[in-house]
Amino acid sequence: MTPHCSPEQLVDYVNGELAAAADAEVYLHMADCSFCHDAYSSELSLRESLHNFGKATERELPASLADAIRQAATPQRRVSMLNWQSFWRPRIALPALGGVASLALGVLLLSPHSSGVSTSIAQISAAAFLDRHTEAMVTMPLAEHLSAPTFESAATLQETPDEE
Amino acid sequence: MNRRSLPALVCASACAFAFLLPLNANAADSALALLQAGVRAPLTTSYTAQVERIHFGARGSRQTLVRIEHLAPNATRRTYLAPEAFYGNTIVQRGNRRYECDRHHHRFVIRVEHDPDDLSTAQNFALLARNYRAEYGQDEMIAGYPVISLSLINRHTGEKTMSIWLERNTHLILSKVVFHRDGAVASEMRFEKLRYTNKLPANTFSTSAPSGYIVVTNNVANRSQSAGSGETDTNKPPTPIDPHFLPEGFALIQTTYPTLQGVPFLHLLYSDGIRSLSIFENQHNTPAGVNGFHAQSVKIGERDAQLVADGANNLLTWQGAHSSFTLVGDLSKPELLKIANSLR
Repeated sequence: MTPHCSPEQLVDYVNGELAAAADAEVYLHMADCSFCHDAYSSELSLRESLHNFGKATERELPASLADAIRQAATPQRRVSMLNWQSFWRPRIALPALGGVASLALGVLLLSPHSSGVSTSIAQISAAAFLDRHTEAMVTMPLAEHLSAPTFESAATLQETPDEE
Repeated sequence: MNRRSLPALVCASACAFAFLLPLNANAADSALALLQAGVRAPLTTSYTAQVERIHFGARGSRQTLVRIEHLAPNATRRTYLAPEAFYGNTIVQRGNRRYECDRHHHRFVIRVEHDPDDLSTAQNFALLARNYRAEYGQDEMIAGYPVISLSLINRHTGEKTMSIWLERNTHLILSKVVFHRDGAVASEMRFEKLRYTNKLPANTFSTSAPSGYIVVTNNVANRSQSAGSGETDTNKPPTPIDPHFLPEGFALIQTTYPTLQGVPFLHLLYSDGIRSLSIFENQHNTPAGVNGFHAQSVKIGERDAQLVADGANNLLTWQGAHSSFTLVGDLSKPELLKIANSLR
């Protein structure tokens, strides 16, 4: 693996979309890399914020509007497919690819991961401290005689909000 | 109490060697001896059961439902039934080796953990006995078996810290409730569908990874060295700063130098036998990152700090003048703040 995980890798890791080998590689790397673990925590935090915002602002779609959208969408499906296929025409695809490449280059240049000069130590997730504390408790007579498994660690657990 | 109390603790632990010996008939009647028997029960009792655990946090609760197959003395298989995210995941524990099978990530994690020796377990039981008294409660039935209930009362504060229910014949702990200082329930564990048997299928405790799974070795034991190991590490954290305040009955029970995500720390573990406190210290600018947690901003002297509640534990983290500190423990927020201020 490169010195740090790429943002794309982390997003895929958070969403469980990496192949098993790549997933294990990222998992292992993060155990020893506070920088990537911090980025991973930020990604999780962003995801949770978006999720919470979505839940907070969720509105019921009026039934009449939903019906109207369905009716309007059905006859246009074939047209949409044609539009999608037209994307691959060179006069559209080439400029689009150029734009994407420029954007990717910009992100790469601005990314702290690629600078190679960042030597400061990123924050270590509070979850790592909580897990370590639990691990250390195994010698206590009435503690749970099992520290949290990796899939149940504080880093991955989400609390179930109580009903209001 | 601070680390200077360690010699006293070691002396007290000598008395606790009784823990290693068979319980005699006279002691068996006492609540404390019963508690010892409960702690030791899995060493001699094989069973299958379904176990529900709930941790009540500040913002909600965490629940797990696990099927347990245990073969005395030290082979255990746990199969997760709930929540859905963990469904089908298994953990096979054989001594200090643990094999975690994560079906969702097709990952097989082998963990080599610290091997708690009998002496440290005995020392910690002596600490518990010194700080807590056990009182009998009402007899009940749990999972179809008669149980004896015990409440553990803090000798210094008079507060009930834990209630446990032990099966009358085997002394297996079938239920446990942990309380916060204000009396609120912090966590609860309860057995269901209990069956005593040592006839478990041969492959129950298999430690081989399923085909197609990626095997990951996560050696917890090697990632930290005990304070007495004598190993030299140029990146070793600073000399520990003793807290001038600790809750009554707390003693230092472990000093290690773990590495968290590649960063070396000094880790001091304090306990009164049930409740516990970890102090993590290092010289880098690495207070804990609280992304994903609901953090409360507080002050330690003039310095900004973050306070996080996670289930029964609270975490307090800040950057000091020369070191960063992170405190974790099942202590109240005022207690953590008082300890933090006594570190300055």
